[in-house]
Amino acid sequence: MAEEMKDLALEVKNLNIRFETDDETVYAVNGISFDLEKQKTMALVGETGAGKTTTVLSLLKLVQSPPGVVNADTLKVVGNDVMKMTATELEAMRGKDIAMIFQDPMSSLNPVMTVGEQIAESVMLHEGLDEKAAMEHAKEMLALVGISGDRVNDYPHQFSGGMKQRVVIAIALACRPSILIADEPTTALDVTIQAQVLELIKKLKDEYKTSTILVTHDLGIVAETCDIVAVMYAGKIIEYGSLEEIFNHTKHPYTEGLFNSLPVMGGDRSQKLKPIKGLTPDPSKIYPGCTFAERCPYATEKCTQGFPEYKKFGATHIVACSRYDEPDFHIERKEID
Amino acid sequence: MWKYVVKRILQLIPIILLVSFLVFWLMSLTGDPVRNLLGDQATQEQIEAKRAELGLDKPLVVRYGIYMFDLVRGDMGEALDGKSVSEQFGQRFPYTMLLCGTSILLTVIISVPAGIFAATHKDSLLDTGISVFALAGISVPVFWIGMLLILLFGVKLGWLPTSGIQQGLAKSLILPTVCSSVQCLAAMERMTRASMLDNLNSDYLRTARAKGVKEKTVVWKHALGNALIPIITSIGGQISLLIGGAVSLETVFSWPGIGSYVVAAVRSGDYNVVTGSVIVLTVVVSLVTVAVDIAYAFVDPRIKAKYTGK
Repeated sequence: MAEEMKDLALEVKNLNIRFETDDETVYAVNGISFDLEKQKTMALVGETGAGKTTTVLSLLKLVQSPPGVVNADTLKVVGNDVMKMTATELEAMRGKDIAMIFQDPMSSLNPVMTVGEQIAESVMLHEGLDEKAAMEHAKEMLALVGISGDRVNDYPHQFSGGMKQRVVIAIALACRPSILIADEPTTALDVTIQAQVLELIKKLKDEYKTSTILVTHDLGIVAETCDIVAVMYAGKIIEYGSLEEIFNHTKHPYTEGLFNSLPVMGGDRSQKLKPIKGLTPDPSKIYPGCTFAERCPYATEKCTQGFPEYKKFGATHIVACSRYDEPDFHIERKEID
Repeated sequence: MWKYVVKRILQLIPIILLVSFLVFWLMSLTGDPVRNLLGDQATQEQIEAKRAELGLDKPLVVRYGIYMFDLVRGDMGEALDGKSVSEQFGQRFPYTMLLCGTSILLTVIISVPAGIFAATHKDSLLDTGISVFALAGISVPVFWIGMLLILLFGVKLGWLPTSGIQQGLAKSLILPTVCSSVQCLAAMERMTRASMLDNLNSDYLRTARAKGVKEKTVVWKHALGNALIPIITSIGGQISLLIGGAVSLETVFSWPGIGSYVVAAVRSGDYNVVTGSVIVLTVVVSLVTVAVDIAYAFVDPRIKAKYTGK
C-alpha cells in the first residue's frame, strides 16, 4: 500500500466544490475521484462549465473562498494533504510541487512588472537564488520557450498573445514543478501557435519528467498528448480510462456524443455536424439520477433514479452509465481494435 | 520622456493665460478700488488723478498685459496699504504649502493602508467601520471639525495652540493638519479600497498566488502596483482641493498663509492681492496636475510606452 502511494503524483477522493452566494448555491464539482501516476499525462475533457477549471484550481487550493467551499476525503499532491496545509505550506507547495498554466494569457500576466521579474519571482522564492541569479535563470527560461533572453526587461504589453502564453508557461516551469497543470493552454491562441505551444509542453514534460493534467475540450489535442483521459460532465467524471480505451472503446453515451460532434476529416462534407442536443444541466440544482439522462439518446426511466454506479471495463476503464446493467447494451460508435 | 514633460509644461501656458485673464477681468468688475481708497469725500479730480497714478485709466487688455509682464518678473504690484504684494505673498506662501504638504502626507499614510485593509477584509466589521468613518468624514464640514478640535485640544485640554504659530511650528501644525486631512482621508480611503477590489480578483493575482508568492507580497506588490493609478489621480485631486480649501481652513486656525490673506483682501477689495494670489495658486494646481500625469508613467509601463514610443 505504502509503495503504491509513492508512485502517485495526485490522489483525489470524493472532491466536492460548491459556490455559495446569497441567491443560490452552485454545485460545480460533485464527488470526483482520480489518481495521477508520476510522469503520466491526464486529460480532463468536457464542455464549458463542466467544472474542469474549478477541479484543477482546488489542487492548488486557489478556489476563491468565499464563495467557494471545497470538501474532499483526500486531496493529496505528491503525498501531502492539501486540505490540511497551512498558508505557509501552501505557498511553499505552489509553483514548486505543482504549477499551473492559465488559460487567458492576456490577463494572466501582471502588466506593471517585467516578464523577467515575473519569472524570477518564483525562482527566488523556491530556489533561494538572489535577484541577479534569478534573472539569469529567467533569461534561460525565456530562451527555453523560444523567446530571446534579451527581452527579460520587457513588459507584457510588448509581447503578442502567443508570446505571452509562452511567458505564462515559462513562469509555470521556472522551478521545474513535479506536477504541471495546463488549463486550456491553447484556447486563446490561433492554430499555428497552438501547435507550437503543445509541442513545447510535450518537450518540457519529457525533459523535466513532470506529471501533467491537461484541461481541454479539444479531443484532437488529447489524442496527441495524453496517456489517460477523464471525461467530465456536470461536475462528475462519467468516463475514465487510458487514451486507447476512451478513443477506441468508447462506452459512455456522452463521450460518444463528443466524438460524434467532431467534423470528420475527409468525410462527406454535405453531412451536417451532430451536436449533442440540449444544454448542460443547471448547476444550482441537484439531480437525483444521471445528470446526462435528459440529453441522452439511450436514456430509460431507470436513468433518472439515482446516479449510476461506476462499472469497470478492462484494466483502467471506468464508466458511469446504468444502461450497462443490461448485459448486451452497447452504444452505436464502433469499437476499434 | 523629458520631451513629454517639457511638452506638458508648455501646454500649461495657454491655460494659465486664459485663467489669469478671466481672474483679471472679473476683478475689474467687482467695483472701483479708487473709491474705496479715497473714501466718499474725494473730488472727481482727485479720483481721476489717483486713477492715472495707478494706471487704471488704460483699457483692460493693456492693463492685463502690463500686469502679466510684471508678474512674470516677480512683481505682483502694490496692495492698497502700499506694501509689496510679492513680499507679503512670498512670506505667506510657504506656510500654505507646508500645511498642504503635511496634510497630504498624513492623508496618504493613513488612508492608503486603511483602504487596502478594507479591501482585503471586505465586508468584515472593520471594513464597515472604516466605511462609516469615511462617510462621516466626507459629510461633515471642515470648519466645524476645526472648531471641535480647537475646543477639545486647545481650550479644554490645553495641549495644542489654537491659532496661528505659537509654541513652535511643529506643534502649531498639528490641529490644522488633522482637520484638513479628515476630508481627504475619507475620499482617498474609498478610492484605494475600490481600486484594490478591482485588482484583488484579477487573473494576474491568481498567477502570482499559483507561483507561491506570499499573500502579503500579492497584496502590497502585485495588487497595489496596479491599483496605484486611481490612487495617484486621487492624491492630485486632493492637493488641488486642499489649496482651495485653505481659504476656510486658514481662517478658522488664523494660519498665516495665502488663504487668510486672500479672504482679507477680498473683503477690502484689494484687487492686486486677489488677482496675484489666485493666478499663482492656479499655476500651482496646474503644475500638480502635470506632476500627476508624469507620475503615471513611472507607475505604469504602458503609459510610459506611449510617451517614449517604446
